[in-house]
Amino acid sequence: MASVPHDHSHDHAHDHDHHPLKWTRFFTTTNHKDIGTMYMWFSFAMFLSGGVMALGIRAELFQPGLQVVRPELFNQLTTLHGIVMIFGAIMPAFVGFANWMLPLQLGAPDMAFARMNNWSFWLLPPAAILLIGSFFVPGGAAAGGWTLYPPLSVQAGMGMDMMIFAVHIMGASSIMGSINIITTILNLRAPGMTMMKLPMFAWTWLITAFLLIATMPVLAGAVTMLLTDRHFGTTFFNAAGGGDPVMFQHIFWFFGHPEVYIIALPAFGVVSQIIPTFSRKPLFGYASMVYATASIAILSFIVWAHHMYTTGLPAAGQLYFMYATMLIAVPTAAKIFNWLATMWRGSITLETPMLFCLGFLFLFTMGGFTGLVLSLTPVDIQLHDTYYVVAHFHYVMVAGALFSAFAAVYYWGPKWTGWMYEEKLGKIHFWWSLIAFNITFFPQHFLGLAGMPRRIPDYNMQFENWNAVSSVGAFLFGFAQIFFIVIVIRMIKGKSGIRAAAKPWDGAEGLEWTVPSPAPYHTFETPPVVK
Amino acid sequence: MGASMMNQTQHLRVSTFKMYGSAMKQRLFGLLALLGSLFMTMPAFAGWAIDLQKPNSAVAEQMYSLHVIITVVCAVIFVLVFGVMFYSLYAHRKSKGHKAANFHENATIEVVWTVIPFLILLVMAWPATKAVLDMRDSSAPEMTIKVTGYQWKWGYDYIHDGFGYVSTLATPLAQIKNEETKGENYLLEVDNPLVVPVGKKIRLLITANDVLHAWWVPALGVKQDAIPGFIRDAWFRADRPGLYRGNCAELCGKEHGYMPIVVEVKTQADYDKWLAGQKDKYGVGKVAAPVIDTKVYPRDELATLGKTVYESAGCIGCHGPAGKGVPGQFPALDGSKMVNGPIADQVALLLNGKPGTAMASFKHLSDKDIAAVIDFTRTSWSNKSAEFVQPIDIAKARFGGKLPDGAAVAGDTKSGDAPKAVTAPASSSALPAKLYFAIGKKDMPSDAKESLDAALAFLKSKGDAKVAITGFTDKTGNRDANLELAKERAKAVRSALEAAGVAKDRIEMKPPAEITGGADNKEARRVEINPA
Repeated sequence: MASVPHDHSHDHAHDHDHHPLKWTRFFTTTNHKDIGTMYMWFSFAMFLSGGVMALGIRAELFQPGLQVVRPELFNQLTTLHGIVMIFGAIMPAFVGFANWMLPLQLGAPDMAFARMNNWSFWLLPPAAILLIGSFFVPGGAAAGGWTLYPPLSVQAGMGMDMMIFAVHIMGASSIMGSINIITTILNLRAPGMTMMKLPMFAWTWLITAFLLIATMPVLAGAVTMLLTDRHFGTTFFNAAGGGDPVMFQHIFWFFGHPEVYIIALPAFGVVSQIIPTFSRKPLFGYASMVYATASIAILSFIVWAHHMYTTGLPAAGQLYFMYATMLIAVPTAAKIFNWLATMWRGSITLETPMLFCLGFLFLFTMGGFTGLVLSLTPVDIQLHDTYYVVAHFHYVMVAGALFSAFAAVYYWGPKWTGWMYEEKLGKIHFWWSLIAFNITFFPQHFLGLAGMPRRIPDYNMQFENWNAVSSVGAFLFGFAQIFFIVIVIRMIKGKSGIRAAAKPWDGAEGLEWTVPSPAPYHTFETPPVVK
Repeated sequence: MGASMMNQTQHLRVSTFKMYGSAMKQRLFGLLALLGSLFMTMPAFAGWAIDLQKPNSAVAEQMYSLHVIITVVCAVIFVLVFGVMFYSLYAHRKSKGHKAANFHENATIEVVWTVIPFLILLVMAWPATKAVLDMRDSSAPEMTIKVTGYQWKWGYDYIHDGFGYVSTLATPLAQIKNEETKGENYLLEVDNPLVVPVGKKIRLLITANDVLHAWWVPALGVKQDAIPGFIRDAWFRADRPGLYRGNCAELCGKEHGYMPIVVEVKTQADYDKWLAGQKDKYGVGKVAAPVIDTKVYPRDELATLGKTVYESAGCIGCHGPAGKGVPGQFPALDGSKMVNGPIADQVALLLNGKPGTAMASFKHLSDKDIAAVIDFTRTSWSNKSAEFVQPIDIAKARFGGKLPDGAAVAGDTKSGDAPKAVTAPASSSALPAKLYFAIGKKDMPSDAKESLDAALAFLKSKGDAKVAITGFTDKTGNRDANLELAKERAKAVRSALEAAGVAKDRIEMKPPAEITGGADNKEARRVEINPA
């Protein structure tokens, strides 16, 4: 299938000669593996920061009354938790996987624009400094919710400006990353790899990259208008000057809804790689998976106002957005069925990556169903801006994105490090995360149904019990991720004592398994040929 | 409330399913809902509520049953799908020696599992569509109330009854800071609830003063964003009297969790009694001059009262207990230029608010409360301003520097009980005056005198004012005949005013207005006199 470099040992030595070992290596590198690694560490650091914020929130909500934080800090924590997790943790994690794996999967020597790749990563740390640093400026960090709705966001202090600039920078980084990914996939495929032979991970990233290019400028426009409303006397979102606060919401969600799929689609891609591997059976319905991914992406552009049912849309608007939103269930269901059919009559083993994929399936489907519940406008009127919605999107985001990211680390980690992880520890991490996640978020459905609004630091005693349960779960979930970093470091250090083979999973398919583990610094200098 | 929380599990009511056409469908949905409620309420103990609140309006009932149905449908599919997955995980394990098959396509089954979800969605869309149409149909209301969201309180204006008031959190700060035992309705209690009659279609006109808010009462099935500069409407018809609680549902700043909503639904008789009391309290319909508190109070007494006002009227929310504010967001009062500068500026700020900021107008407070809180800020913390104000200074500031002619003078006005009529000349609050004509008739109704007197009093109180007369009609029957009748009725009112000595040039005739509503809607038979 592929031409593997014949002389491994020689290749390795040669490789070491060119390894830039200076401290400047990571600032100047244009190597997709270095950059991928940096993306992942950055993402993990942001994941821990966002996690600490979440624990601050849960600590305050453990009991009614104010104990841990003041309401103003509480709002800053919820706001920054959202932004940091979405833009800092989840998106960079998947860009990291794309950087590491796409060239290997496509048989390309590197990403198409290697220098731009470096630049798109190095934009992120300044953005992170702006975000985290905003906690320490007068007035504190932005506190208007990650959705930045005006007029509240116009009222806020300079933390909001830092947030706006951070969003600009991260948006620019995403756009460059997307251009790079699209060009790499379209132009650098090995000879013989037709589009319909692309690995699913590449397909989902290709579609995601188009979503990013289409929506990030929209978000940039929205926050720029916010900035000029704040400082230069424009009134885009101020009725007193002829503007409309609701227009911001339309623009924001025109970005915001596709953003959900920007997060979910690469996760689908990861799962579509892993389930066939551990079922030892090819992916069921490859072509329909591609079409389902594309239709989800297209539909994601025409459902945005389902986030805005309570703004007072006319009945016709509510009905249209309700129908369109319900329709998304069809291609999503097709994907779930495809994964199940892949497992059906396979030869299944349950290593940690597979467990995380099954966890993903279970939780993501649950989040999908609560999404269907929320798609019904009259039901959403009751549940909008309650803890039900919080539970819903954590089932989709944490299960959809985080669980598949964990699956990806366990699945491709041996390729990156050259060592197997410790299977027993990985399984403990999975069950610990799964149980703690459900303790945290399942009760939040009940809280929302019973009438607890989101984004409040204090609540009536009728919500006391489930909040206490949820907070306990959150801390358990947090500690599970400390455990995860221990597992990863032990894997890097080879504590399992098991060296990873070029293809450590017997059911795995694809060019990435034709190069040695750890993957040499330079791979596919001459393209392999795909039959 | 606690009891009703516990009871909220006993929600299943046959009436819930009335709206689904045929008996077959009714039975199907009824069965599903029954299953769902059994499934969902099993572990429900007090304090462990897991379900939507017990509905108290037809719309909330539709929302409730829709939620039950869709949840049951989802749960059934979930169990089926994951049943298949777990079976596969069990049966198709490598450890059990299962050899992998190699199929990876089947067009038939792929079509089937695309079409079936689609059909399920179609079935779900039907009751949901019906509920949306009901929910959005705010036509022909029997009563209209304007709701305004402020940071962080709610304003309710009974626009046809000529009065309004502000509703703020009643939970003491000490409970929030865990210094006192929390009451049963902790954070869900207010000083002045919204009061409405049972069984009447109430239309809410919802807006905001500063940032977005959302008016949400789960039991009534209403959640509507309040948007500054725009008016949105929502409606409800409460089924049973009682107290219904909710919260602001849209993040509106740091006290977002502290602006609850309480709706008190009264029987019509109780409501009428309450309404009469309110009209009396706010001096609606009386042509009396405003009552001004002219007493001179010792400065200490005002400052002491001011501390209470500072804590209860919402000042403390932004400016903090030590007057330090929140740096970068809310200005400090301790050492502030405003508080230590010319006192007239501070009075104007409290009366008018500062546009574009969270500083709302506080003119709904009594003269004495405003004077007191100003005196409190000027003598507290490090502030040592020599200037201080008396209630009468506030009254003068309200009327542009001097008291209106004929203002009645009283020794004291009960704190927090300020007649709202003070903010505008009382004589105009009697307008709009409405005259309801008999069906098809253009003769003056027998109770016309009251309305005419109100108009006359208004014209008399303002030498240069004019009134406008508008006849109303609806869309049933012959449009031309309707419009003609409305015009004739308006003319009859004009003649009556002229007969009472009003000059022709002080009366404006407006074109007839059409409103929606049924044939028995008396609003469609009215003539309205408004200030022009």
